[in-house]
Amino acid sequence: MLFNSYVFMLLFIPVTLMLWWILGKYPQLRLLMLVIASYLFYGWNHWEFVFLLLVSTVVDFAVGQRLDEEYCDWKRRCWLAISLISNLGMLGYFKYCGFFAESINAVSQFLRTGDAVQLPDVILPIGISFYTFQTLSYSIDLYRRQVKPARSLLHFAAYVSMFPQLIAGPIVRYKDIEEQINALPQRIDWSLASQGIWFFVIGMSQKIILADTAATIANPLLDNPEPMQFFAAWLALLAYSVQLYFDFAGYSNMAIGLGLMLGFTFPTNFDSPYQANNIQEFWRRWHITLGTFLRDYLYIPLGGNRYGRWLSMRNLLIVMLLGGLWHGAGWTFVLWGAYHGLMLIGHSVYRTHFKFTIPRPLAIAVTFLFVIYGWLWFRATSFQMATDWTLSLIGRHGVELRLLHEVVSIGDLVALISALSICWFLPNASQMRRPLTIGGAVITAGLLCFCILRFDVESPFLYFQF
Amino acid sequence: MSSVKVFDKLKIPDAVNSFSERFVVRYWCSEIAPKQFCKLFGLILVTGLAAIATLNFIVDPYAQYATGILPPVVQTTRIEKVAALSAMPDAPCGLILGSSRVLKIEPEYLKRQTGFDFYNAGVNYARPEDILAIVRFIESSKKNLPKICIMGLDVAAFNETIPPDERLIANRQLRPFASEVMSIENRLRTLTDLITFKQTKSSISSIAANLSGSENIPHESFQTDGLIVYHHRECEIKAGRYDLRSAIDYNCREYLGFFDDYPRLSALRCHLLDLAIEKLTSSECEVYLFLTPNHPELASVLTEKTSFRDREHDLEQFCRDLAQQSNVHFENLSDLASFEGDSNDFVDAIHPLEFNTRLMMNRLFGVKHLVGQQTQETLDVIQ
Repeated sequence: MLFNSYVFMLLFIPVTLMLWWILGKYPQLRLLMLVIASYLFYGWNHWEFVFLLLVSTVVDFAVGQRLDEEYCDWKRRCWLAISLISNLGMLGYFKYCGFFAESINAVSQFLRTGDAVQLPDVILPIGISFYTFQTLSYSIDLYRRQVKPARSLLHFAAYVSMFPQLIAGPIVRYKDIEEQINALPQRIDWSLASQGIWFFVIGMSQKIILADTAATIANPLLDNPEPMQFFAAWLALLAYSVQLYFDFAGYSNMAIGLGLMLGFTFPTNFDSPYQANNIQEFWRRWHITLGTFLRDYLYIPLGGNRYGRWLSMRNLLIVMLLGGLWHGAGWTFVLWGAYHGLMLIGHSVYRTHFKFTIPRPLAIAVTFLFVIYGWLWFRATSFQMATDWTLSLIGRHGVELRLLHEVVSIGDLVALISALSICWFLPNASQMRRPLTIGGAVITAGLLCFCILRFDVESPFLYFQF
Repeated sequence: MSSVKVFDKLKIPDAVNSFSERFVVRYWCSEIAPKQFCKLFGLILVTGLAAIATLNFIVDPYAQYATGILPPVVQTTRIEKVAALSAMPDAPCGLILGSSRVLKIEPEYLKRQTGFDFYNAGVNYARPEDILAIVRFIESSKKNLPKICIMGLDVAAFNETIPPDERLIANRQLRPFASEVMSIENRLRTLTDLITFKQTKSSISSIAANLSGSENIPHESFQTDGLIVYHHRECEIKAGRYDLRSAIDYNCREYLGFFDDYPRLSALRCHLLDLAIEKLTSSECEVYLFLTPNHPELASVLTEKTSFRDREHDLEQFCRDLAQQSNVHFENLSDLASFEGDSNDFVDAIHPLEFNTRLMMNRLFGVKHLVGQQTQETLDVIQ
């Protein structure tokens, strides 16, 4: 089910919120209701994937109990291995087996031996990358004895399946939410609820008004099979950068808002990333929960920066390569990860050897350019498209404005410039002062009303494919 | 008491002078408790949506709710064709079914060829569910079904990733006859359509058009026999100004999207076509199936870049099997060469004009239904 659908907005969310607060005195019943609602939400379009979620939940809950009870080191390692194998195995099969098969076939075709393996017909279950990371973090934290096990399967199922953040994050760790699940507020906290409304409406507006408008500029340019001209290539790149940011940040804000309406506080996921003045800061501001996940469960276990500069650089590159692969099963994503890894290494070298500071506006502009060039690899469906697009950016396919006239209006351009200005100059949803005024209520309700009218055009979130 | 005096009594700071400033300070910017904020937000949201829904229900720009207060500002082929079929005392002897690609098949020409009165019931973006819904609609509203039916099928219409056309879902007369494609979301459409941007925009246009008394000149309209007339485009073609190239380019872009993700024919849509044909043949209707033609340039683009030829082959095979089982006639007219068509006699890359449709019908019927070969007795019975 999509947040930006009539079923969700007119039926699912009013009924769920009403039941959640009516059952205030019965915590078990509330958790059960939340789990049922979340499974309904998840299985709305593909009910068969609900079983996958259920299996992942049951396995990690059982492993978690064992990890807590067991004191023998090697047995604990075995239990952790079971969790890792089941989660990564599931992710590997559903997300990566097609990619690996295609890669093997590409090599065998290069060697002129024909297709080596048959391509599997596997559908990617929505949100699998997010919830497997959550259950994985639970097992690892229990192994490290950083959290206590969930009180019951119901508590754990509620944590894993909680519908606001189930499909596209933020990646919530059990320790972030443990106390909140164990001590559910019985009565509605109006202050949290009003904040929730604010975050939800801001997120919905980012998606419907900004991201979808940017998509109307980027998609026709990128779907055209002909190579783009110079201006079209830059316009498509800027529009896609805006679309991706507002699409994903919008989803995260909506998830945070829905969590607040239910009385839960989720971690922040975006902090105006396009205002970052270097690439390291960008990764502290973009998809924060994934960044901290990779830092705590991959970079630090690999040694972090404790064993000298070269190993630190190697670790950075491994983390970013795997981060790229997490985003999508394709070589363009791997290259995108490698590109960011190299930029982080470059920044680290620069910081060590060069002491002069670039003026902040210039640093922001340079970082932005580097980041958006990375999005080109993120969006490209093939090497051919990425190289064509890169050549277009330097004018190798001409500099005519012809195609622009056909697909982009002045209104679109104004909308794009406005959206970029919002990225660069305005505070984000967490930084803005929440308008608890009559005018604020009117504007917020009006914005949501307008967004609901636009639900007639189905527009899934970009991060659903990851 | 004037409103200014009311504000005076509310002890607004002296520095705030004008009425508008007082309004802003007193109401718009005044802080409220979070609970009040939430309640006010909910109230405004519900009221706003209810107001928009009421406006759209009353204006009913797509004639979905039959309020009939204002004439619908936007006619769709389904509304017009259903209205025309409803007005007929009996089912037409001959029926043409399919998408907008069949809309230039002339009932008059077919009458000359076969002796039957035809009605062209083609509708935009028709998929098998539309064909079945129209057949069921005729069956339920008339006592008989047609004696002869010509059915044009588009390869793109069998792509399961393309949902049922929203104009079928919105059509209150056809909707009950397309129950197979009515998901929960589609069933809710009657309600949710009331709060869509498209509907609201059309409602406002409708009111504006009625207030200004301006007449909406349609780009196309239908004759009484269902044949389409492309007003602007036909004028331009006659004047030699028509830009066929741009129209073809547009279709190429559009159809690349339709065939982008099309790994197999939709089993449901094949089943629905089967049902429609079974219904027609069981009432002794003679059915003529054909695959609609594409402009050679579109066919070449699709062949090069998509799975078009594979799916065309699948659909052809399916139709041939169907033809064998149900005793219907089938021709693949997808390629212009199959009926010796003219690549210039198109409105765009998918809509053939009269010259081509006549050739198509000649090819489809062969010599079997030429008037000369019909016995007077048969004609009398049918007429």
